[in-house]
Amino acid sequence: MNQDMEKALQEALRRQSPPPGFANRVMARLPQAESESDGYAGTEVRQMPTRRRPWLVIGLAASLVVGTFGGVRYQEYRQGQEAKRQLLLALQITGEKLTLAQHKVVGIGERRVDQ
Amino acid sequence: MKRVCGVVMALALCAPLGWAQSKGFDFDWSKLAPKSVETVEVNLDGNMLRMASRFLNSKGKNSEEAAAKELLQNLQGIYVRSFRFAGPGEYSLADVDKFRSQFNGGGWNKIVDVRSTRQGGDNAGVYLKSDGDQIQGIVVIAAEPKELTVVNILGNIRPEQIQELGGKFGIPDIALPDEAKKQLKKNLKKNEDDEE
Repeated sequence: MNQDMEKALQEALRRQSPPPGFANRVMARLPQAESESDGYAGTEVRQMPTRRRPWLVIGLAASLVVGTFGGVRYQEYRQGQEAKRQLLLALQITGEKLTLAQHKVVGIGERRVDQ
Repeated sequence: MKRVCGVVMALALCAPLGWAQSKGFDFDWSKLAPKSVETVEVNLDGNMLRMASRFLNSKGKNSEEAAAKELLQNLQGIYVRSFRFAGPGEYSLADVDKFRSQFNGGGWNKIVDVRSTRQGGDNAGVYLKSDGDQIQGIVVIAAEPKELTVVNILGNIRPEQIQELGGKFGIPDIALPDEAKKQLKKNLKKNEDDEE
């Protein structure tokens, strides 16, 4: 189940190129801002309306928080999976060696009975 | 400044001691690694065990993972060192005996001790550290001609939990009759009294 989840995560987070003409379509939908001349010939500065700026900052901060949180959770998930793998390996080795000890004890007991 | 340096130096000197004591591995493993063809090293401290436990499936009362999850609750660490060699004679049995001697006394009880004097014989030891009915640690040593393995499990373990793990992860099924359990308890108590 965990492997499925990992696959689904990888699939969802896969890097994708935008469809052709995406940038042009976005630019075309932007409201035309008043052009201001700052003294440089041919330079056009588009400014976002002041009332929208806080929302942009909040949006960016929220994306950053969500991205960081998601990254940390994914890192924890990977570490947990690795810890689980090591734990199961340790228990298997323990079981194998306890079985060896048990066989030795049983073997010695049987030899003594035969004698 | 001198005081700060002193504290840092003291901590630096104490760190390896703490490492050895916490894992119970007072042995120079680094000399075996270059000779071995396969090395397994597992270091899971309490935090890592807690993290691993979150990913174990607790559903199914008899499942391996559910039994392991139950066992992990009071464990402080699991440490494994396993070395596989190309041929026999790559490690010294005297070193292994020296390592084993750490588990003579100090609350440790020898449960299994198989020593073979013939060439190519297997040696095995299982040691329990106990305080009353509570097991505080288990060490398993298996010295085979081409393989040397030491497992150290630290923390509080109830004997029923070990029994619960029987038949899972290849751990032998130890179905002790009540009489044998009573005898084992009596022996453990006697060993403790002798030490005092």
